Amino acid sequence: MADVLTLDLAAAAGEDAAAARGPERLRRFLRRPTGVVPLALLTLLALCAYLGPLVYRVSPTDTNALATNLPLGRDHLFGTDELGRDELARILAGGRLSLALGVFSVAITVGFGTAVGLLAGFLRGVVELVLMRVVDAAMAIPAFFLILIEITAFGNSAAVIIAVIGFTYWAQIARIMHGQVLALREREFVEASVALGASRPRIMLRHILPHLYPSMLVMASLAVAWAILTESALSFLGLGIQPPDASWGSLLQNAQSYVFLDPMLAIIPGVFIAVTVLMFNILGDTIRDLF
Amino acid sequence: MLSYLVRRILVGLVTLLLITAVVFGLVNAAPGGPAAIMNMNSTASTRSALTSAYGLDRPLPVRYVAWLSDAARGNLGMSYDFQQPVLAVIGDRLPNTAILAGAALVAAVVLGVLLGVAAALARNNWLDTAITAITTLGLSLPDFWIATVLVIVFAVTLHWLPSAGMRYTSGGGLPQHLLLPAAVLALGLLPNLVRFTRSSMIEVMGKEYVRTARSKGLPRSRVIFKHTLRNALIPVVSMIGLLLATLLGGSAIVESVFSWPGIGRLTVQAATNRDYPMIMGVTILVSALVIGINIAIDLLYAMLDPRIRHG
Repeated sequence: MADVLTLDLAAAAGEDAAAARGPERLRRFLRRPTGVVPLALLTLLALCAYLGPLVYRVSPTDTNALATNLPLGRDHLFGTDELGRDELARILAGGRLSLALGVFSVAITVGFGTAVGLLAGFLRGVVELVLMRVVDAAMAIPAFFLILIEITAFGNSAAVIIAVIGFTYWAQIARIMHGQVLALREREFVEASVALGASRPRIMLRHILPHLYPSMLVMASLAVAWAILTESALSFLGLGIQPPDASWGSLLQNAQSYVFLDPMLAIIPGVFIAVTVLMFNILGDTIRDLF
Repeated sequence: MLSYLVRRILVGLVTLLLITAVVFGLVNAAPGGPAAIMNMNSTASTRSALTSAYGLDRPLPVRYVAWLSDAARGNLGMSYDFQQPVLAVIGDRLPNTAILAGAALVAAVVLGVLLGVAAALARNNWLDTAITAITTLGLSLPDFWIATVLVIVFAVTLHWLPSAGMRYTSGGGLPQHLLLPAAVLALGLLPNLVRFTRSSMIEVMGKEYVRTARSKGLPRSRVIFKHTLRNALIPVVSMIGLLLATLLGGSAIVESVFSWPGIGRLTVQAATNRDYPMIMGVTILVSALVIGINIAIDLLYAMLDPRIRHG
């Protein structure tokens, strides 16, 4: 009898094996054009940005006073800027920075937000009360103003920008995760795990967390889009990445002074930002539809 | 109702207090402190003179309490940059931002609701797909880039509209100057409003009272506008409160591009010049504004929908 009960509980505890249906979901995802196209384009973009310099050996920072503001052409595919720097090499360098900034800051956003939501939703009581009040306060400060204050206080190195952008949107994610965990913790498989004597960290990490993976993926995808936009806005205002380093936003800012002489310098980085952000947004929407 | 209002205001004040602590803590956590940054070229002696003149040599909690009690009495300190009271400078610029943000909000809400209703009525039709695709695209285009492109087209190439400023030097011309920045700001809000109106409309269209209205033979337009839209708009109103922070953040970028003399551009300048009292003052005022307007919207809610009772 005792054995049967244990088996039942074990089966109930195993009910949450969210990962088991992974391959099937992946197949459905890849069958959709709105899934496979953004994934392929973003992979291509990342490959070009990170491996491209192995093939395209032009420096993004070498200046050439004799070849300034060249139009698009064979020697310089995207032309050159006002100092004769190759625009394609600068776009690739900017891509490395913008993509890395997006991914690292979102790792912070999603990781921290999920941790807070999970702790508040599972532990309840005083922990929940305190954490969720902090979340409320964090959401009440208009994000862009908070970012400007942090940049003013801590400077604008890439590490600071990653941290600043990373710690901006966590509160929204914490609130969504909190709601999901509140629902999950009442499910039978959690009750079964408790009955089997699983510790609270084990229940949180092994049983509840896997159910949050799909939401984390959706939010990560949408948050990367937002992070890249925010970084480029900061750099555009002159408060982000500083020369000679290039991000897509700082390329756009630099192009402002030459917009009448050489409008392509303003248009090309804008297109890269827009396409990348669009692809992350579509990716996020598609994952949300599937799960 | 009154007890609800009192409670909301109290919670709002506590939130605001937390925000002031975060803002004050962040600013004073700056390496070297505000005094070192105030004047990079200063000698040690002038720096220490400045430090004591601004009271920066006292312990942090003491300064916070002093700053808070000043702030509560409407004194947000002197701007390093302007050498004027922070509140006076902000007071000068706030109406300009209100004009810009107000125009953008009205345009975005009118257009967003229209497009959202159109998409909902044409659900899964080509029109719906087109509207959804355009809003996703709109969500992905950087506003400063749209601004640049609009300036190239309408100011530089066609010479239809001025590219920057708020009025002609001879005075007047506010509508011409307003058009481009307000359009960019409105475009930033539009995608969320369209999506939200669309899903809200679709939800209400599935309600039984809409089916009843249609089956008793009311004309389609009456069902749509009187029975569906009025109910669908209620959650959209609360969406406007949430969009307020986005609107003010967007105004920082748009005002910078178009040299619009509002608080958004003021904040960016303050960040560039490390004008700490100014950036603290703006952030706290903007936060207070957002909290206050959201309380007002929740009260408005009860008027729009008599079913909602604040207990």
